[in-house]
Amino acid sequence: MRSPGGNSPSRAALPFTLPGDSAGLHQPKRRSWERRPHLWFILPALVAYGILFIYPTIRSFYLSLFDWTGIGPIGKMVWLANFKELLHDERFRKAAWNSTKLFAVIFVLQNTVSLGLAMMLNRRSPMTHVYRAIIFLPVVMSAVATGIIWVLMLDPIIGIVNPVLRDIGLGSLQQEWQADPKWAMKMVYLVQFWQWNGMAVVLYLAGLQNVPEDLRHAALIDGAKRWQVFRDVTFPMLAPAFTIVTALSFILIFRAFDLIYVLGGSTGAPDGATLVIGVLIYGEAFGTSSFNAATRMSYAMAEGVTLFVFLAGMSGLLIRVLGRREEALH
Amino acid sequence: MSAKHGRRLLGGIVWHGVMLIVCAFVLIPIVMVVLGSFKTVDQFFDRPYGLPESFDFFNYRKAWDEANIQSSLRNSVIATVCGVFFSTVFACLASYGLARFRFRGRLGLRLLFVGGLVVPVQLIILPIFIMFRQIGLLGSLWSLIVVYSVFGIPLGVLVLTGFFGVLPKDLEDAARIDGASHLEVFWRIMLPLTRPALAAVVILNGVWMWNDFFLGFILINDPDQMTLPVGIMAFRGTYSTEWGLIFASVTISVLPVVGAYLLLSRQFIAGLTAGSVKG
Repeated sequence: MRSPGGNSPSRAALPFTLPGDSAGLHQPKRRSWERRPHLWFILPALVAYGILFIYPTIRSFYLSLFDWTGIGPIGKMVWLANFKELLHDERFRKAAWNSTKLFAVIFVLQNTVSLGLAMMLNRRSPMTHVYRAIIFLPVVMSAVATGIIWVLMLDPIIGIVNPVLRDIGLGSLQQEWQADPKWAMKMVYLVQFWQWNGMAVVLYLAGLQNVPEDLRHAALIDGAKRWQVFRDVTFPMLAPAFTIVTALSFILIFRAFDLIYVLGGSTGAPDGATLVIGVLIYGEAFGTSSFNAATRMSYAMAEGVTLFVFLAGMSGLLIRVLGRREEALH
Repeated sequence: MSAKHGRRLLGGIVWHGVMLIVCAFVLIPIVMVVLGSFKTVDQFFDRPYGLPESFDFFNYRKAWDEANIQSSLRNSVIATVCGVFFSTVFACLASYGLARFRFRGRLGLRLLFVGGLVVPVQLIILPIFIMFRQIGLLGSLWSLIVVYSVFGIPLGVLVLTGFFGVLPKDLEDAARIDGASHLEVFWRIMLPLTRPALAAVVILNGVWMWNDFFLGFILINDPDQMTLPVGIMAFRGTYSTEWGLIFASVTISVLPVVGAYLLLSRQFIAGLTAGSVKG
């Protein structure tokens, strides 16, 4: 679509300069538009995205350099002071640690339970589609609904788990599931896994359907053990699905808010046990409760910028490393 | 032969057994909430996991009339429909431009759009909150629609550029020779061919917007403008012991999306995994 010799000033100009900017160049400008039809398609999205996505992202980097509560005039510029403070902030460290643990636990569960279920589902049976549809169901439900469902399940008084344990004679196993700091974060793992297990199962199942049956049969006939077939044939063939499941849960978990807010509120109750990065940033920016309404908008932005840089860097790294692994395995 | 047969039968029983346990783990919590939505407060104490005394819809009536569910439902429908519509239009046009034309900066531009997926919403909503507060847009359903329309673009571009990119060039060339404009080629020829990908984007963004709590929670504080998740959380704060009422509202809020899922489960599963498979 590009024509050679496109060096005239009007064509070198950015596509989204205002028409009034260069009234004298009106004629060549219109021709340049005709030569670049793609701009017409991209422009509406680019303008909207520029105003409400790119500009705010840049502005949050800028505002993270100030000392500002978020209310009233912007305070004075403190450069990187917010970032320095963040390194020694106990709550930030704890939230980062909790988010990391959540990812690690989900990662392990996805590659054992979800993968195992996907392998079990990878067979022809009239019920396969029914089971798959049920296992995937929580993925379409809102985090608010999921959170409230599990608050009911785990409630010590009206809940389901404790009364059932009591009535089947296992009363000693009853716990204050959500109020006990020892158990609260484990319940977050459970609920998070309950909601997203179906996603990993379906993605692994799609990957397994690309593994040729013949290859596995050939290996079995050659005397390989089932475990060896899995390790040397099936799992390497699942490399693309592994990349997707890992990268997706990484991004989802480090940006998570809704579900964990429903379970633990803005302070990560009890006693910060369920505080994760996403909730911490919210609390810092808007105050954690009506009793503690102190807001630190710029500090929250510094935390958000740190998270963004970490996510962008790690996603890039993950995709590159896992992509290379995929190539090496094929 | 019969030993082999016996082992297969046993294997089948184990297989169904494991699957049924997993399905029970998924379904029991959901069933408990639906049962809970028919209970009075007293019945929660009497029989926490038992059946309700009667399947009377009193909690639903109360939620509908007193707990603002009626207006929340309407707001959720408006926000989701508008958000899906505008973000799909933006993403569709942009993806076509990015996938069907060769020009300098094409890959960089695609990365700029798709890169939005790793920006934490918690970060980007803060400057938007400040911006909307300044221009007085904060608090209305419009603010949410505007944000959804833009925040749906990255996923849409991710899925649709992959799809537009693989359509054969011949189709386009033939129509161009016949004198069709680029817009006509896009609208008459290419768009109808991308229907499956469009369905995926609509489902992906639709489910996300319908279920979203965080953005509505930040941008809206007027009870009449709240969407379902925000409204439910708001009156969970006020009526914390009216469990039946809360569970009735939760049931109402998941019913449309679960109903659509049950009717079109194949399309939903394909749609919700499309973003990740294409990426």
